[in-house]
Amino acid sequence: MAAALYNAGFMPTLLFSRLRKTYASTVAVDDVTFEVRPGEVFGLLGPNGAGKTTLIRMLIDIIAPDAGEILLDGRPLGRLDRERIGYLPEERGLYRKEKVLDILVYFGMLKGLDRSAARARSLEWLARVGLPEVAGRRADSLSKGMQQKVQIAGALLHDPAILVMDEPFTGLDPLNTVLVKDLLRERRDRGSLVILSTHQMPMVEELCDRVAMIDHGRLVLYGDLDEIRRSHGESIVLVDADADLGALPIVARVERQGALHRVVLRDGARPRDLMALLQERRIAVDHFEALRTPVEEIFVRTVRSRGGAPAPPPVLVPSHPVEPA
Amino acid sequence: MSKVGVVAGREFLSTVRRRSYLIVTLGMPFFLSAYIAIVGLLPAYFMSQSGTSVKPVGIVDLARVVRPEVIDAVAKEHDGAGREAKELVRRLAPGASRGNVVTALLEDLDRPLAFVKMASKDEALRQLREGIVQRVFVLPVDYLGSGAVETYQTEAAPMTRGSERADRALARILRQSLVAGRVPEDVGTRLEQPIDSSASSSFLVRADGGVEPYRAGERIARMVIPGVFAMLLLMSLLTTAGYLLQGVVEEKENRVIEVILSSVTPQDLLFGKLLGLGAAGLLQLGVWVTVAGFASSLIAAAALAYLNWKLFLFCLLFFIGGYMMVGSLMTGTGALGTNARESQQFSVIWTLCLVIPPAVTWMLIVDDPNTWMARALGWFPLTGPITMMIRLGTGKVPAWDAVVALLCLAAGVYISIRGAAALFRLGLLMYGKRPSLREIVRQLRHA
Repeated sequence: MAAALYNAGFMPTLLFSRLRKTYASTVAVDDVTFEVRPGEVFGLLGPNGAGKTTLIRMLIDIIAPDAGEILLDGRPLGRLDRERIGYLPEERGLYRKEKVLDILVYFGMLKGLDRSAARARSLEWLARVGLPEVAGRRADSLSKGMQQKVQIAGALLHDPAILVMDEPFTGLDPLNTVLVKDLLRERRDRGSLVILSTHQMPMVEELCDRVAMIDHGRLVLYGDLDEIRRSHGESIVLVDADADLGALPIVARVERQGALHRVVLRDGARPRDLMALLQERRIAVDHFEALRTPVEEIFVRTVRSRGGAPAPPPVLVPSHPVEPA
Repeated sequence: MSKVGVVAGREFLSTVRRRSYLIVTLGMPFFLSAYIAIVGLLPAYFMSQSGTSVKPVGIVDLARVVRPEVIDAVAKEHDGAGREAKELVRRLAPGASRGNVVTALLEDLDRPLAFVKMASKDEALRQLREGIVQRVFVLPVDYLGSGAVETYQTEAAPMTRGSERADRALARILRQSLVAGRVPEDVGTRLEQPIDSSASSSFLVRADGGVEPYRAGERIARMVIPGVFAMLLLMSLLTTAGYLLQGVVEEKENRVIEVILSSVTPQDLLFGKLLGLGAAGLLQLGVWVTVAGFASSLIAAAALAYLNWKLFLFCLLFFIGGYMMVGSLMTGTGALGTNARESQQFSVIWTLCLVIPPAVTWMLIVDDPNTWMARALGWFPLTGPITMMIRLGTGKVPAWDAVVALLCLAAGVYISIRGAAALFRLGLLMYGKRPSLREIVRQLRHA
């Protein structure tokens, strides 16, 4: 049934619904709900120990949630769906003493391919990641970056409908980083559900369409990345002007950045408001540059602001940006 | 192919292709045969070649009791112990071509011992010094009253086998000389051999009053099938334990466990490992048993002579069940250990649980296999496999009893695989730290 849906090109959404998981004394995941849609790269963000890996493990069915469920197109994830998951865990490796091709064939067969198909796909994917010559080599004779590309080939060789990659860029050189980014985009364009879990915010900015941020097991940010940036980021403007900008009513604070002033605006104020105010007060301006708030900054501020305090209820695109600690 | 099959296939192939496996599997028989040859057979060979055992024994008869015709008669007789041993080998392994060395040793044991009567002690001791005789017995003048015999031998003479044979032969000569002409011939023969086991018979009185011939040898042979299975079970657990534990930590060590678990359930993974690694272990055992030609043909011949298909089938089922039971327990607890040594300790405990209770009580079980204790040990899944093999060997256990034991074992295997899979799952995802007791109990409850 599910396979038929995939084959028809219809890609259902994946809903993580009110998931909860507690270990002996800690709550790893606390009432988390979000949705992953086809045709997007979904970013799963959060500091170390936030609960991202637990969420992924629940999707893979390595860990059973205490409450809540994961629904694919409205029905619980079944065994057949699991065969269509491609997973690159953060804690990863290869059978060190075995040949690369044997390992990939084994991975493929565990995903339901027969031996000859698994072999053909393995060779095909080794060629795609630029390592056709390593098929007969033992895994422990490969460099770390090569091993990582073999692992990525292993996650993709069965043409997964759901792709989960946990920190796929660590240990890759710039050239291979581009390769992996292209692979992710290609999966997205083919309509797969793509989940990217990472700490590397530039990658998030570059690749992700929507994100969920987890902290202390709770969902603290969720939604369209641009939307979050707009509503959550401070407005920052780089200005070169000979005046006391800090005295302006819409300015929160001013910092020096080289020869320029880095002007942080108050809540709700936009760069165009500052421009209007400067013109109105006839302040001479030699440089005016509105900055986009880096996701990293939103990430850091959100986590810092929560500190060790008890978690507030999860917010979907909160309307009030949080002041830095 | 099912996931279990895929896992089992990989585990089997990757194990048997390992160089260490090949070396141990093929090298062990050579090593063992060389070892046995050096430690066991070489000294025996040299002893039989040294000639001491074929040299005559001198008798100095100062008491004048030994009759020359008795010496001649005894010299023609074969030694009783050697005859019995040879008979046993012939019965157990008909047409035995192997074990030539053993047969030769038995021939040697059976060779008659020659005695030479000598006139004086001085002459006898001279011949002993010159190596013409292997030893000298002197019967002093007061022998009849005291029973004292003086034995002289050179320092180099072997102490054990040869001297025992000579003592036995001397006793026979003395006994026959003393009674000759004094008691009727038949009484003399009976004095020599009060019970002739070849002419005697034993009977078994059944509870229903029926009487049947009791053949002790056959009873022992009936225990051969269960005995071989019990031994194989123990040996296969000991040999595969290493592979199982290595297999358990393999994914953890290579950090592929999360990828594997994204495709296969812990139960299927555990089950596949048990099958694949078990097959590799059994293959190794099979090679060893086959190469150990002498032992295997002896056992096979005995088993075939008294083969009982029902008994064989039950033993096979208990063997498989017992292996699954202990193997899964080993794997489950092995996954909890943070290193190979800890895991090894756990696995030894389970093997001991399997073996010790039946090993301690087996004589009671053989005496009466249907006491409550024998039945309880037979039905309890952990002690059941070996206990049931012993019980079934007696031939007195009703079929329903064996079936109940099998059902209990199957239930035990099911529970232990479920439990082991839960522990396996718990242990696998913990890199380098040990789960708390509370977490273990929690996981087992969820299994």
